[in-house]
Amino acid sequence: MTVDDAIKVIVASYGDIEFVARTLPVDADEVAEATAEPDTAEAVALALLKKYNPPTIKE
Amino acid sequence: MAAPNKILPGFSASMWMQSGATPTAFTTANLAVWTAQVATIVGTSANGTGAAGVPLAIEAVPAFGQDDASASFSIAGSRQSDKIPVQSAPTSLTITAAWNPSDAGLLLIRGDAISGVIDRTFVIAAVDGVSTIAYAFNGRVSQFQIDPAPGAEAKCTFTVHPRGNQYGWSNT
Repeated sequence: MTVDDAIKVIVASYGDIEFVARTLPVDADEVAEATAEPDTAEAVALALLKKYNPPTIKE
Repeated sequence: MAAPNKILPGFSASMWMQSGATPTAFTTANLAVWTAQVATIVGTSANGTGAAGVPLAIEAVPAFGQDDASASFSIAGSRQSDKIPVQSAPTSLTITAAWNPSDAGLLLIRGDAISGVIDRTFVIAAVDGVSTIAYAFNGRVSQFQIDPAPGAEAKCTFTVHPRGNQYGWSNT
């Protein structure tokens, strides 16, 4: 799932968005590079995705 | 859910709600967005725009948050048991207001209570000067009673039941 699609799912949700963000399959590196306008629903969603998909450590 | 990034030395609290008989409640993510979302419900007196909201003229903003729920597990011979948090419900807000049959907000509340299935976004705003911290949540109204006792002004009492997980903090 792309980060954009994941954000759309979270923004449209009336449920527990912490739980939704935790369960969406997204690429952690893609999440790390994504940006969103501050004080928007997209920013809220992206912050949750970043919380549950920390960037992978590269050697 | 992000916590507010403001500290208000002193504040006055007020309560607002979406206008409209059949509103579309905010999605959970939008409950934590001030600009163009929560600000549209909060009136200008609390630093919002108020285009889509009405004030609730209530006596006092009640306690809000989460009810306590725990499960206890005991083991024979053990001095202490486990007391583990389990699923708990959001706190219902029982509110008293002076009954005014012309008040738009109270009439909407009465209609919601009669219906029982209308989800509406409510906002509790704490204001100190130009700073506002808003707690927004979706809820349904039940229990609307009018007390016309002759010894005092007529009052109405209603209860707002927040929907689980549907809340958000935002600030100016």
